[in-house]
Amino acid sequence: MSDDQGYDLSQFKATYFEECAELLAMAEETIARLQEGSGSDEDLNAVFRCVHSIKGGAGAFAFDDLVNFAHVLETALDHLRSGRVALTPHMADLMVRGNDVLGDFVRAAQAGTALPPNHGADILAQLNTLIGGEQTTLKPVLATPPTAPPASAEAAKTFHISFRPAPDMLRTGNDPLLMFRELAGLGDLSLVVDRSALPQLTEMESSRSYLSWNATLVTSKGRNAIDEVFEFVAGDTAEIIITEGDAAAAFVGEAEEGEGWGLFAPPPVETHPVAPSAPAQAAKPAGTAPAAGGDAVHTASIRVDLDKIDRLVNMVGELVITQAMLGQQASGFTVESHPELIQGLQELSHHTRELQENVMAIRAQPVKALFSKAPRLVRDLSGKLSKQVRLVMSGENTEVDKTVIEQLSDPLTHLIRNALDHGIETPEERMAVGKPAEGTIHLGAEHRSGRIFIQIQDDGRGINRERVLAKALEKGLVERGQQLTDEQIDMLIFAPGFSTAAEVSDVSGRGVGMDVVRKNIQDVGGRVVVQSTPGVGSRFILSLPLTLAVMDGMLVQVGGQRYVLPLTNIVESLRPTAQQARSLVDVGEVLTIRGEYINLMPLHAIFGIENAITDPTKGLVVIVETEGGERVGLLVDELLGQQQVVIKSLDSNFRPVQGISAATILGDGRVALILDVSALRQMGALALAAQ
Amino acid sequence: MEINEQNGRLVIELPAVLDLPAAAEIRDLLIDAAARDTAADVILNFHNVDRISTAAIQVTLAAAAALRLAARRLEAEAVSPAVVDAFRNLGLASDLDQLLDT
Repeated sequence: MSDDQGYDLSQFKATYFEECAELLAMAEETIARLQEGSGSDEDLNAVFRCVHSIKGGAGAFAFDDLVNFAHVLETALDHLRSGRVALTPHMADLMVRGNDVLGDFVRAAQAGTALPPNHGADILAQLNTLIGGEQTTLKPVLATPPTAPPASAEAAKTFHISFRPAPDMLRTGNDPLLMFRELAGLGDLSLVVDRSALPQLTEMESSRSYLSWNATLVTSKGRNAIDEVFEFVAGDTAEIIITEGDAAAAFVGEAEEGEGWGLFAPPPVETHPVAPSAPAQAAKPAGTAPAAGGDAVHTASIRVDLDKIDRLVNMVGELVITQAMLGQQASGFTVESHPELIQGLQELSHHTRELQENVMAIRAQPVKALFSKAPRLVRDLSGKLSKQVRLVMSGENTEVDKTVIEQLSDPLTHLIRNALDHGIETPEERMAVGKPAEGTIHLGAEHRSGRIFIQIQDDGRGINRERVLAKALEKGLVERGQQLTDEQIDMLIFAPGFSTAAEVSDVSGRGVGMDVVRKNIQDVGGRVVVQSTPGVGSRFILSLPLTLAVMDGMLVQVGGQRYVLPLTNIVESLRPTAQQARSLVDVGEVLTIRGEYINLMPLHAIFGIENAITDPTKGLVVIVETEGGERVGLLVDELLGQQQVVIKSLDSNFRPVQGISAATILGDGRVALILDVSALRQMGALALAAQ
Repeated sequence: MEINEQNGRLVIELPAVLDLPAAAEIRDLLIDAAARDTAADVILNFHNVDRISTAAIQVTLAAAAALRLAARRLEAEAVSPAVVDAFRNLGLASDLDQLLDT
């Protein structure tokens, strides 16, 4: 029927909910700062803006329950920032829980479900008490006619507002009607409408904005109140200029139609800080400094669908394969015989790697998103456990692949819980051993050697190895009399079902957590190690790949097959002498290297490959290290070379294969399997046990 | 929504909510009404309207101008308080007055 037929609110809703998730996270992080006492007035304003933005969008989509709750929370925040209510610990806690309930309403709106009628009622009641029972729902606020300012209020000021919506503003769910209605609620409002852009009916797109306004508002409310009215549209969605001055400077008479702009006297005070614009700057007196946030109109970021990025990542992956293929095709040529071809291939290789790194960087996010939950977790748990704990964070801006971040959320939560529950002692216990009553947990992230290292360190009691060992014996995880190093004992805490907690608490779970922690980390190609000193503390170090799409690998040949070994697992490679390779009863084949025995695993035997080298002294042994720190030697025919490979999931393209983590396509078009070193070690141990 | 001929007038009964999609529909109907080879005035009946958007109001302004060029009129009738408020809040009270001024 019309060009508006394709108009679909769902895309705006999707954007709104994405923004809500960001705003809720930002609010939580900021409230945490306020709780710690390190926040500022601007932080309070920031939380207010988050809640206000969520409310505004909710109003546009008619999520009434969400609007009503957000409104009460927002009012309470307004009381806080105006100083009418003091920011006490109780108040801060109320804000945290209020933000949680707000999140519940957002998620319910997103899922299209209804929350129980009394959901968040206790929080709502406390917030209402706090704000003196005023404005408990939005409807009365909107319905309330403009009220005269209270006698004690500030003197009325005149503001001139120039409002020119962007053509697409109506499509974003923002209607000027609602803004002017809200503006009218602030005081005495008069409007002059510019209709000059209104096209002929036949040329009109009904969802485009054609009108613009010049408004004069006489109000005792502050400039902030006006800014809030236009908060959702400031920036790219509309051009807004707000100036303060006396009524005489308002409009040059009653404007005729088409005279909407340039009618203001030079702004005597300031331009709108959130919506700088060319007219605003043109109107500024000469010599005035640029408005704060003067580049806000030019957005520094755009929102891109994750599927599009993944498609781009896949295409770059294909390009890497093609580049490898070209390299292989030209391997017979030399610089002397084909200088331009070789140089071109080298440049292609360089650019491909650079392109791949830049594309991967698009998927990268700062670990801040992950760390932001920690302050609250520590605060809540330390209160519950009657412990005093200080959280120190570093490296929050370190970036890592989005999937890695998502996968790390649960493990990190569990490790922090464990540090609080099992690591940090009670204040009395700490003082008894000469430690400060307040324990410290350090959560840090850093980028090193192409990987991300996240560490959770506490200054608690450390791992009680005697108890760990006793429990492991009781559970049959180790043999009686078996000699274990301190590190091996520490790693026992990652065994399935292992728990030394005397009582199962609701804080650190039922002993399944550490196993899941390790599995989640391994699932994204990471490793976890623990270092602990009794009485001094423990440190868990998570080593993670920067990306899950490509990896540096070593191509090895076994019989007619080629496999890829992740470079991060490889310690060294060697051709053992006859003295170094031995066969021991109950252990199988081992290598003696620098006084250490290492199990030897012939890959041809594990995968049933014929025509492979079976004598270690004639082949090559690649010493690899598993996530648990155990080393094994893999017997292969030869090393073909190091190369970057694109990871293709076997699970989604074929089916899971034991000992294999994924596959890749080589330059010659052949598929090579990527070995899972930890799984291989387990397979070797099982095979030995079966013998 | 549809155009009904009543006593030599083209009448459009508007629905309760005149949001963005409704604005597009009204625009199409008004283009149709304006294009008809007739001198009949076009009447927008706001009797059912509870809520009106800026988009819908823009359409009425453009339609009024289009019909005026053809020496015809766009009229509003049975205007609800919600519609009056909306025009007033947008600073377009005089435009509504012209639509009402028969």
